[in-house]
This record gives sequence, structure tokens and C-alpha cells, in this order.
Amino acid sequence: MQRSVFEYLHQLLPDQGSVHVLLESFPRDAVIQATTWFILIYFILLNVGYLTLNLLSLIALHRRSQERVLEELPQVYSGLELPITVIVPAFNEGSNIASSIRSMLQLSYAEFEIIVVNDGSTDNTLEVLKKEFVLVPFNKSYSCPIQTKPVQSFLQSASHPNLRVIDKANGGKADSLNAGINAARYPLFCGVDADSILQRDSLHRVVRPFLEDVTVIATGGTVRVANGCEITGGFLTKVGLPTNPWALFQVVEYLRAFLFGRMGWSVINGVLIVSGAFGVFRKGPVVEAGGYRANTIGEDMELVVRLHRLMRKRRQAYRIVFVPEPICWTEAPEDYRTLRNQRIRWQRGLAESLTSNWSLMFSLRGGVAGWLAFPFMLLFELLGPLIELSGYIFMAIAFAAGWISWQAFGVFLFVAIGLGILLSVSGLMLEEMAFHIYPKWRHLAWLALFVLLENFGYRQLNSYWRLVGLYRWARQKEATWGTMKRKGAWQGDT
Amino acid sequence: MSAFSILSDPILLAAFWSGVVAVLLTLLLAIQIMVMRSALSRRRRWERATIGKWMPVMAAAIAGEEPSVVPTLLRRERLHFLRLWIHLQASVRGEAGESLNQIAFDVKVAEVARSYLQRRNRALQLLGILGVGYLRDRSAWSILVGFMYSTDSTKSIQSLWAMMNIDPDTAVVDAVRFGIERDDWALPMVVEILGTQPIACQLLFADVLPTITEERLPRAFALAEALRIALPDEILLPLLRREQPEVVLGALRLVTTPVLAPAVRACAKHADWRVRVQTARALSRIATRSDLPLLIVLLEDASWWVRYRAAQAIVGMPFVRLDLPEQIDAITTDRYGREMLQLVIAEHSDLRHLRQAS
Repeated sequence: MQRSVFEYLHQLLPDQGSVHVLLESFPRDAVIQATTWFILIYFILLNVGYLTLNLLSLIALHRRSQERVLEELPQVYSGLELPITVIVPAFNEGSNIASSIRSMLQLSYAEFEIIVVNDGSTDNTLEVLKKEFVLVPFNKSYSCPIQTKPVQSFLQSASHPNLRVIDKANGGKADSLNAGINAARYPLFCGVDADSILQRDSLHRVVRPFLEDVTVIATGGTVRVANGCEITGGFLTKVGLPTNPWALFQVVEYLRAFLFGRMGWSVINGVLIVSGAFGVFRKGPVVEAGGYRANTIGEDMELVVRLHRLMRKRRQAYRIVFVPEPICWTEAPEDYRTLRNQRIRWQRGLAESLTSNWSLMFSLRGGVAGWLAFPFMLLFELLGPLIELSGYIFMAIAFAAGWISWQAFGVFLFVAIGLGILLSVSGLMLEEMAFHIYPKWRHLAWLALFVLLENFGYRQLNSYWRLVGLYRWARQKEATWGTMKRKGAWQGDT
Repeated sequence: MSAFSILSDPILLAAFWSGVVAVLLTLLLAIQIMVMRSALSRRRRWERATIGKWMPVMAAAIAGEEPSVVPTLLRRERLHFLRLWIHLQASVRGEAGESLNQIAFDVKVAEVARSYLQRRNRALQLLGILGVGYLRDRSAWSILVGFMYSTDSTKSIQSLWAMMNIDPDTAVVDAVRFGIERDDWALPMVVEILGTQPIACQLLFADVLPTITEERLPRAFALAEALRIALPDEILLPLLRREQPEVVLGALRLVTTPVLAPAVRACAKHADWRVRVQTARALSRIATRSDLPLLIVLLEDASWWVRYRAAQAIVGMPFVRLDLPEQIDAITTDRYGREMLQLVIAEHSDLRHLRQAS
């Protein structure tokens, strides 16, 4: 008869036996049973959570798609659109900064300004900007509600009145964004990566939630993979799929992460991350929160989690909304090393964001953010790789050692991989339902293939990289951004 | 067989069937994706064919040419015809719109639009609302009123738009009332709708403002400002004396006449910095020479934004010259006030240089 762990402990307590006795009476079956229960329940909870988010996204996307007839109408500016400051941090972007800024200047929006923050570049970034945009010194004394590294000069473009450049000492992306926020003239600001490719109506779309609801303090847009697409004049002209398998896996991943991950959380005001590639914030709450934290690698997520914490603490009505339309495109890594470094960095950023805002979790006024989103992120995103990989390893060892039957091992793999495929296919379905931006049948076929393949190695590899990120965060090893190998042909003078 | 598998058969069974359900759902989704893609391909084909057939007819109508033959509208073309027609209606004005309406009447698309209002499909309802709105179809009035009262923000505000097209004199009363009450209606859309009836709005706002609750006043002020409504002084004056800062600063934004200057000046010492900012802005519109000392006080305010707006007001005064440092000294010796004046002066001169340079 199998004994439970508790029965065993009760019998052992009065008897301080030797290690040998301990080993002989080790409740192996109870431990295996408990571990297997835990792994199965974890996987089921994880996937039920994702499926719930999926359902919420489905309802929200369906509702949005019904309003497409209104979006197809010619957009007329009423003059009441909130003006936006677009902040572009730039560090050693000499080869592509001119083309990026030129395309941003062509964005279709009623009123916006662009502030490029040259973050102590060591290449010719500033010289390129001065030459291409006829920069002249601009007398500017401005309030500095957020501390930053020293600003050396303000420059104004004589050819484009809505373009300004801040030249400052190197301080990192967060510090650059803060300098841009300090100099921003408008009530909304938008942080954009220099290599992000926006659509002409991106600002118009991402600002819409602010007009519909005065409590909205931030919106994030969907980021899509630009690899394989045609870019002309800095704008996306034709959607395509990458041929590189790493990039293809990421297309599927981004669909899952954005279309039902963030969309689902947005429905219940539980969005904990607005992508640093493209997100819009109300300046006031961000300044009150202290701006971006310069000593963190995941400054985009950390700010959003902090905003939740502070707004909840103050009992102020607010919403952070996700805009599902594809409005920002970015080049995804196409080689193993760059992708690995990126995922390690992201996981570190996640850990830093959560741990620096612990008080949000289960706080009395935490709401959805504190009682659902934060614990979900902690358990399934931060610790997920540890539990997931441990589960795979444990089950493999248990099977090899004969502790579990081949049926048990097979069922475990069946459930884990089957649910993973289901989630990826549902991301693909949401894309087809709401946007169908990949027009050809062969695109769909390739995506379907990679949805399957993703679960046979890529996801597990990703989990390993994230585990490395978690380990490095725990060890407090020095984190760096590293450099990404750029391949995009549009990143040059146009 | 290991002990685990014997004891855990229920667990294994539950897990196995979870996997089976996942696989079945995956297959269903895969089939759904293919069905959606096929339907989309088909829809796009019909859409291209419909546009190819009807675009020349509509373009001719917009250009004022009488089409020789108006084709028959097939059943499967109705949806795409209506979408194309609505898109063109939104792009044109005046006689071109009337010509498009004539085409719509000729092919009896008004009945199609009305029938869409009765459908449960929300997308078709929205199309129907736009259709009857452009057609000014009075027979759809009662349905539109029902939609306008619904909690669906998009449907309700689009219905109001349609009603304002059909009978603006009747609809404007509800438009002003709901425009102020409904926070879920985007302000630009409300302004676009109300902007078609400026005189009626002016009169209605003057009637409504004294009666609405304080929590609605900020939105009412925002609408009034956006619509450039000049409210009577006797309505603004009591609002400038209210306790709530949001009410006062909203009223300050609407001040355009010197008659209210005494009440505006009284706001210069308000505890809320936002009110002082709006006071400085209001003074920039109505100030006289005698207000300069008050603006100098605001120039030396603790809040950066109050100082900034006060400096802008002072620099904008035609009787104030600040070309020389002594002239700035004569205004203020406060360090922060001087810096702010210098900043605003530099901004003005930089703008001039920039205009010259470009």
C-alpha cells in the first residue's frame, strides 16, 4: 500500500534514523505523484489562462472588426486630436537615422512634433541629423521634472519646424526618453525606436482610445515582424513572410503574444506592458510617476507596472489600452545569438519590472492588475520557464528511471504540446479573423507549418533562454543591450 | 507497470482527454481559418467586380454627368455597393452627394439600408445607419432614436449623426444634451456633429449650462470651446466664482470679453495652479495696460507653467517693449521671472528666424 508523504513524516518524527534509513524509506512514489500533479495542474492552469485571454480577445476583436466600415471612411481632422510628441532615442544610429526621421515626418496626423534624443552617440548620428535636417541652435530653458544626464544642446530644424534634437550625455534609452519627456510640448508622448517602421496612420490609430475615454493614460500598439516585407520610403508597402526560420517562428510568436495575450488583458485593464517599439502615454501621469527608470533593462514594462501601482494606490480611474491593429513593424533577429540575447534581456526586464513593483501584487486596491495580471506574469511568464523545463526534464528522467509509465510520459507530452499548438493556432485564427494581412494562401500554409514546428523545439529553446535570463537576473550579472545585426535593406538613405 | 500509472489512471485519463480536446479544437480552428480565408477570397472577388461595375457610374454622378443607363443592382452586390457608396458620400459635399443619393434611389438601396437596421449583425446595422443618414431617410427615425439611447457608443453616436442629417432642427436638442452627458462619445465626433448647427448650439448651450450638474461642466466647457461658442457673460460670471477648480478653469478658457476681467483677476490668487495658468491665458486675451502688475505677479509664481503663460501674455502685449535688458529689469527683478521672459522672447525670435530661414 502506498503511503502519503504525511504518513511517512509522522512515522519518522520520533525516530532519528540514519541517512541510510532515510534513503530506504524515501517516499518516492508520493513525491512523483505530487510532482506530476503539480506539473499537470500548472500546465492546465497556464493554458486555461491563455485560453481565457484568447476568448476575451476574440470578443473584443470581433467587435472591432464590425466597426471597420467606419475606419474605411476618409479621416477628417477636427482639430481636437490631442497633439503628440514623438520621442526617438538614438544611440549610434548614423546609418539609418535620416531615413527613419524622414519617414516619421510623413506620418499623417493633425499636430505632432518629433524630438530626437542623441544619447551621446560616438558615431556620426548628430552630424547626419544636422546635415539632413538643417539644425540650428535653439534657446530652450525648460522645466526638468525628471532628472536626466546633462543636456548639451537643443537644436531645431529650420526645414521642419516640428523636428527638434536634444544632444545629451549618454545615459541609456530610459534616460533619453526622460529627456524627451522633459522637453515635450504636448500632453501625449510616444516613444518610438529609431528602427521602428510605422504606418502613415499609426498615430491616428493609437491615439483613438484617448479620444474615446478620458481615463486612458497609455496605449500600446501591435508590433509585427517586418522581415520579408517590402519597405519603400520608410513605410511598409507590401506585407510578406520572412524566409529565415528564426524570423518565421517569431511571426507566430508575435501573433500569439500581441493578438491574444495583450488584447485579452486590455479588455480587463490588466495590460502590464506597452512595447517600447511603439507606445503612447499621457505625459502628466508619467511625470508624476517619475518617468522611466534608468537602472532597469525593461524600462517599458517597468513604467507600465509602476503606473498601475500608483494609479491604484491613488484610487484614480484609469485605463491602459492595447490597440490591436498592426501599426508598428520591426526587424526581428534572424540569427541564433541575437535572438538568444534578446530573449535573455527580455526575461531580465520582466524580472526587474515585477520585483521593483512587488507591492502591486495582491494589494487591497490592486484590482485586475494586482490580483490577476501580476500573479499571472509572475507564475507563468517569470517562473514559467523554470517550471516548464523542470517539468520536461523531470518527466524524461522519471520515464527513463521507470518511475512513470510510457503512457504517463506520452500523455504529458501530448497535453503539453497539444495545448501549445492550440494556443498558436488560435493566434493565427485571430489574425485571420481581424486583419488577414498575409494575403496569400502560401503565407497561411507556411504560418500553419511553423505553428506546428514551433512546439517541437523552438518554444523549449525559448524557455531555456528565458531561464538563463532569470538566472542572470538572480545573479545580478551586468546586463547590456548588445548589438543587433541589421539586415533590413530599407535602413539606408532613401 | 509502475506504481504511478496504476494509481493515477484518473489523472492520466483526464490529461489524455484534455489533449484530445486540444487536438480537436486545433483541427476545428484550422478548418475555421481555411473557411474564413475562402470566404474572404470570395468576398474580395465580388467586391472588385462590384467596384468595377459601379465606380464609373458613381464617378459620373459625382462629376455631374447623367449616367446613360443605371445597371441593375444584384443581390450579392448590395453590401459592396453600399460600402463604396458610403465611402464616396463621405468624400464629397453638396451636389455630388445629391447625385449619389439619386443613384441610390434609382437602384432602391434605401430599402437595403433600412433592412440592415433590423438585422442583428452589428456591422450591417452600422452600414444601415450610415446609409439612411446620407439618404436622409425619415422613415428610419424611430429606429435611430432607439439606437441613440443604447449603451453601444459607436452605434449611438453614429445614429445621432444620421438623425442630424435627416432633421437637424429636431435632433440638435438631443445632440447637445447627450453630447454633454455621454463621456463614451469621443469629443471630436460630437464636435463634428454639433458643428453643423452652430447657431442652434449657441442658443442651446446658453440654456443648458446653468442647469447641468457640476460634474458635467468640464465636458460642456470643452465642447463649447471646441465649437467656439461665445457664452453670455451673465452665464460665465457665476461659473468663474465657483469653488471647484475644474469649473473655474473651464470657464476661464471661454472668457473672451473684458467685461469679465474683474472676475478673471480674482482668479489670479487661486490655490490651484491650473486655474492660475488659465487666468494668465485669459488675461492674454482681454488684458489692458492696468493688468500688467497682475501679470508680473503671475510671472513670479511658483509654478513653471503659470510663469510661462504669464510671460507669453506680457510678451504679447503691444505696449510692452522688451528689446533691452533694462526693459526686462523694469518688468521684474525676480530671477525665475526674468529667465522665463528671456525664454519666451527667445522662442518668439527663434520662430521669426526659422520662418526667415525656411
